[in-house]
Formats: sequence, C-alpha cells, structure tokens
Amino acid sequence: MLECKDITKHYGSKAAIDHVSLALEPGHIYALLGPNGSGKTTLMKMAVGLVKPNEGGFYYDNQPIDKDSRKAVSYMPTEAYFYDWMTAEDVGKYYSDFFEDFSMERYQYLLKQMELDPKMRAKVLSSGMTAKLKVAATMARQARVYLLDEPLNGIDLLARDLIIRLVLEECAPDTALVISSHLVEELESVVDTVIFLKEGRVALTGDTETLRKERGKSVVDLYREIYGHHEEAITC
Amino acid sequence: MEYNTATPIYLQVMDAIKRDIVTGRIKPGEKLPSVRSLAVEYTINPNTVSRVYQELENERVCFTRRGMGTFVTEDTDRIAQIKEDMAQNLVQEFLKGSHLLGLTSEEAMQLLTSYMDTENKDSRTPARTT
Amino acid sequence: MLKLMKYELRKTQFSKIVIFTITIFFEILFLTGIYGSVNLLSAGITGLICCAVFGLIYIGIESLIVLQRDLSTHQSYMLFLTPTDSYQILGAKIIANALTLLIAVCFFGVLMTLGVAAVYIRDQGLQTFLAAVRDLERTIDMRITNAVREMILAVVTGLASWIMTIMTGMLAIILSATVFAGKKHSGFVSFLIFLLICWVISALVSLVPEPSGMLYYITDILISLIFAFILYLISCRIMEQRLCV
Repeated sequence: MLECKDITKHYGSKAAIDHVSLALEPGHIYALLGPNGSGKTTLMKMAVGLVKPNEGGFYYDNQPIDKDSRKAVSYMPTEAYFYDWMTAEDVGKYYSDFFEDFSMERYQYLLKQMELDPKMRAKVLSSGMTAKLKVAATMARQARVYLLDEPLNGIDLLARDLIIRLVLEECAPDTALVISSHLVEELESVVDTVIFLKEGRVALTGDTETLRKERGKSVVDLYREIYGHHEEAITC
Repeated sequence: MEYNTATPIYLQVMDAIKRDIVTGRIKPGEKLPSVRSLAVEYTINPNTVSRVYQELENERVCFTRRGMGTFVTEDTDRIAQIKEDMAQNLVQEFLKGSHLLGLTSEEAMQLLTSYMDTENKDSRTPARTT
Repeated sequence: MLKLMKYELRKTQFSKIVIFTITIFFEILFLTGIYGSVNLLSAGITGLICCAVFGLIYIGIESLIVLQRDLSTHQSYMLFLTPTDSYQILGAKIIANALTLLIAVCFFGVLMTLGVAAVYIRDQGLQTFLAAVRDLERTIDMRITNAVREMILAVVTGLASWIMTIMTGMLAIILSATVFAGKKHSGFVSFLIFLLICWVISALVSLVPEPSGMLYYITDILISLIFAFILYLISCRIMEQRLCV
C-alpha cells in the first residue's frame, strides 16, 4: 500500500533518515516510536511530499507519491497550521473543498465531542484546542492511510480517550494508521505493529503480541531497552 | 481493563471473556460484540480481537457464523469444562507460587484450610451494632 | 485550481477592504468638494491619487507577501497537504493576483473618469457634457482610436511586464525558501536574489533588437510573457522537486 525503499534524507552532514525501507499493510495500526530527532516526522513528511528525500522514495500502490496520493494518504503535523483568519467552521469548508473523502457531518460531530466552538478563530485557540481541531479535521476524512504525528500531545485525558477510540474505529481491513507518539503507554494495547527509529534507521519492527510472547516485554520495556542508557554506577 | 503489557494481550482478553461466560455474565448462545465494538470497549487493536475470537473458536468456546457474528457455545458441558480448566489453572498457580516461596504442597494446603477456618469464624461472629 | 484561487483571494481580503474603505472616504471628500470648498476637493483628489498609487502597488506586491508567509510559516501545510501540485498552486496565485490587479485598475480608472466627468459637468454644465459625449461618439476618428489603442497597449504592456516582475519575485522567494529553509533573513535574501534575476533578465533582453512603432509594444509584451512563463516553469519545478516545508 504505502512503502518506502532505501529512503534517505540529509540535513547538512547529518542523516535524519538513513536508508530506511518499510512497507505498510492495510488493516494495521502502527506505532512509530523514537526520541526527538530520530527521524519520525521527517519520515512521515516524506510520505506526503512535504520533504523531498535525497535518495529513494515513497510509493503508494506502487506509484511514486504525487499530488494524487495525497487524496488517500493524510498527514497530521504536530504544529498548528491553520490560517489565522479561519474559524473551525472555515477549516471544515477548506478540507471539504480539497478532499473528496471529507465528511462535514463527521467533522461537526467530532467538534461537538471535543467541545470546540465552530465559530472560534484558529488564532485564539489554546494549544490543546488547536491539537483537538487538527485531529477532528484529519479524522473527519475517510483516507486510506493516516499518518498522525503526535496526535495525543497537549490533549486532556478524556479527549485522548476519544482520539484513541477514533483511531480504533477508523481501523478497517483497507486502511492503515501510523501514530508517532511519546505517550507509549497509552498506545500499548492499541497498536499491533511497532516501528522503532533510532538515529534515522529502523532499530526494531514487529508485531506487538509476538514480541510480548517471544521476549516477555512490553512496548515500553522495549523502548527503554533500545534507547535507554545502560545503567552505570554513578560515581561521585 | 488494565493489561499486563509484557504478556500477550489476547490471552488476557480471552481469560476475561471466558470468565464472563463461566460466571453467566454472558449467556450460552449469546452473540458476542463485533470485532470493532470489542476493540473500542476494551481499547485494544481490532486484530487482537480477531485473534481472541479465533482462539476462542479453536477452543470451542464460541463459534462464528459468517455474516452474522460470533456466538458463545450453547454446549453447557463445554462451559462447565472451561470452568473446571480455569479452576485447575488457579490451583496450579497457587501451588507454583507457594513453591516459589519455599513452601511444600502440604504446607500450602495447611495455609489454605486455616485461612478458610478464619474466614468462617469471622462470618459467624455477629456484627456489633451500636 | 478555482478552489485555490478562491482561498488566494480570501487571504488578501482584509487589505482590499482597507484600501477600498479609504478610497471611498476620499471619494466622498472629493464629491462633497466639487460643490463645496476647494480644500475638500483638493484633499479628496490628493487622497484618491495616493490611494490609487499605493493601493495598486500594494495589491501588486501582496501576492509576494502572501507567498513568503505561505512558505516560511507552518501555514505552508495548508497548501502542501492538499492534493494539488506546484503548477496549480503558483498558477492560482498569479491568476488571482492579476485578476485583483486588473479589477483594481479598472476600479480606479472608472473613479478617475467619473471624477473628470464630474468636474467637467460642474464647470461646463450637464448639457455641454452630454453634447460633448455625443460629439465624441460621432467623431471618433483615427487620432482618437490610435490614442486609445496606444493606451490599451501601454496598459497591457505594463500588465505583462508586471506579471514578469511578480514571477521573478516568486522565484526569488521560492529559491530562498528552498536553500535557506527556515533560517532568518530569508526575506532579505529573497530580495537580493530578486535583484539578481532582474539584472540577468535585463541583460538578456538588451540582446534583443528594439523595433519601432507598434511592434515595440508587441515585442515587449511577448518578451515579458515568455520570460514570465519560463520563470513560472522554473519556479514550479523547484517547488515541486526541492522545496521542503
């Protein structure tokens, strides 16, 4: 469905993504994990063409990604990005204008669930409300691939529960969701495949239940194992 | 539901469902929730739910009728057997835990009977009313 | 692409409203001044001329201001996440800008014509004015037609040349955003690149021999549009293949 082959991106002399090959299959929820700077956002952005790779590329249904693949692959950035002059309602109209798979009904339903006023301007929203608005706009689409960059950041507990519920509801045999997040614990039972990025490379990837069975470790345990500094005695 | 995330979640969900069945919270022949509903209800991945239903079906705890859903078995003997198996597991876990503590099976048995006696005494003592 | 244009126009809505409001204010001063005090009249005329000059200049450059904002802030996601390509995005910007400019030119042109007519009517009376207009219609001869033709050609030449200038500006902004992604002073660098490209183009244009008469305008328009198109293609290609947001 969506895959990258040997994709590489340099920023200066540093490789943000170093010859990464991944293939996303429909019907799965992926966790893309790694500390800040491990390349998660860069990888997601390359999947939708916001960042252009130095080598390799992303392919959707075996074709190099282009403007048409953005009809099916939706990316939700971490940052706030709506035009200042837009209200939540305007955001809905914008998405509705450009994305055929956007459902205004679902959007309005989500706004209500998240207690967002459609008439409020994007400029005056708090960071938490902006975060919820982004998720509402993204999940009101009926895309085939969702790339959610830190969707739970800055969001209160109840809204987080709602977003996780949305993710589970959206998971269907023909869709794939990729979630990058620091809140690893909250995603433990939700994702079925985990991808650990370390310094631009895939350190580990696999089915979560298989990893639990074979290694007796949770995703959190694996995270600590891969990125944690091995404990050394602290000498004064 | 809180999960032990270091062991397969599907096994834990299977146990939870089996427990509901043997205690009668879910009746024999009752329709189990759809994959998506269960996923949302338990906050688990739908593939995990599919696996749960698949394994339960392998154990003849439930069966799937194509297009209609998954149903609990109506075989009450099977359900009794499941209860028996789960109870046996509890006993094994108890003894295993006792052995790890350094107790023999007899000592573990003694512990169990004396605890039960205390429990009985407490229930016989009338509650003080002020 | 129409949808892109709709939002490009929406982005510049505020400034257009401001310019329009200020212009109307001075227009009212002017109209009041025609039959009132000379001070109001001259204030009105001065104001209107200022509005026209600065208004048109601002509307012309605004597309560059918007592009710079679109590329250097996170609002870039709004454009680049849509299922559109750079050709559509830039094309929509240019067309929206050209359209706005054209409408603005016509708007001020109409105001000016009405203004001249109003003064004429005040001085010579309505009858004389209507007679003069009828006269004009009857005696439209070669001299006036030529003058009108020259005027239209001059306007079109100006517009074509303006499109080329704007396109140069856009390329400069895109180059700056591509190479100096997110770094400070990318606006200033854009300006330097802009000057550089202008210099290169004028050097190339000076190689073309300058014909006389009507041909002068035609060649000018063609050169402007050809360069504008080349700059457009280069801009789109860089934006599509190299620009990271």
